[in-house]
Amino acid sequence: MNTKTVISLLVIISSLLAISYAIADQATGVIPQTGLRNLASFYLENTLNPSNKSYWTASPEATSAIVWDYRGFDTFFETSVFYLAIVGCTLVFELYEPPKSKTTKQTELGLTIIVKVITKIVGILIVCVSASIALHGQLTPGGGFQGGAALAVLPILFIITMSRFALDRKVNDTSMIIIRALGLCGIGITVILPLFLGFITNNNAYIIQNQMKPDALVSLPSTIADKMMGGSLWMLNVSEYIAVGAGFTLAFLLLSLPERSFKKILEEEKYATY
Amino acid sequence: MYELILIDVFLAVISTVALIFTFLTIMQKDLVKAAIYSSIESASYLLVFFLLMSPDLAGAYVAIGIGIYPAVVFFLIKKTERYEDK
Repeated sequence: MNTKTVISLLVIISSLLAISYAIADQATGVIPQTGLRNLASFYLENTLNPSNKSYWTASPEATSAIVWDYRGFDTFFETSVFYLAIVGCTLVFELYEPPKSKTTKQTELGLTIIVKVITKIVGILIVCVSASIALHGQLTPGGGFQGGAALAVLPILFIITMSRFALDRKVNDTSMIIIRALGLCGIGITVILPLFLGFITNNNAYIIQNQMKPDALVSLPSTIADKMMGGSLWMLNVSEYIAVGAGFTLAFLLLSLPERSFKKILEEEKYATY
Repeated sequence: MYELILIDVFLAVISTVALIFTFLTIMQKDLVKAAIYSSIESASYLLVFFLLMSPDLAGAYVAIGIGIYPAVVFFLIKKTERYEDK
């Protein structure tokens, strides 16, 4: 261990001790707070309150209710940021013609057959678990983003074990863009659905409204076949699941493009310029 | 009471492990090893979130921190160089 490393360690440890001492000495206020804040009390009292449905969300999962109902606009804009990030990624990796593999035989691509078979079995499990996380988002911890992120592990495994070209034969960039657009359309439709219902029933309604409010008597179905669905929460979770899963898959397909294809195009453009 | 103390001790240990692996990530010249250390740091924070009773955050962290983030870094390392210049 050289002098530089020792000094770095000492700086980190002393900073950690100083911050810990400041927090323990209540420099940042009383931690933990002795009581609930008013906002937290409101959420806990109203998220699932069948006796007073004035501001309820019909979901026992308070986090999902806050994310998609009480703070729906925040999540909507977060989804927009992710959408724009994927658009940026697509633009950076834009190719005039996607590269093709030199070999057409499936067995020549990727790792051994044992790894490929195990990956396929694990892949089924990943799809089931991720769908479960997303579809139960209104009942248990999880939701659309968590499910979509779990699903996005699948293309990584397939790219590593079976190669990018093998995956490209089944899911290409265009299909992922279309699936992601469908997911985003699902979010858009769910967001404006209360307005449409309000227009039909001649009631006041809000964007991203889930259950009825004192001044807006429009509700999306809280139960389907006696199962608690949380109104708009499950629709938004499923749409987000599709959008995030397809968005990440698209990003990985683009990131795993071989370097030679870019170099070739860049060289062609260089000669074309001169 | 003892359970709460045990959770506090466990949190302190996990946080220290995360700190050690953060330090190793910064100091490591081999970028592949640095990505793996960073992934272990993420796994430590995942346990912290779980113990602090935020399973929603842990759910996102397990996929992003351990699955997607190291994979993205590996893809990028493949496009550049594995070893950082001194």
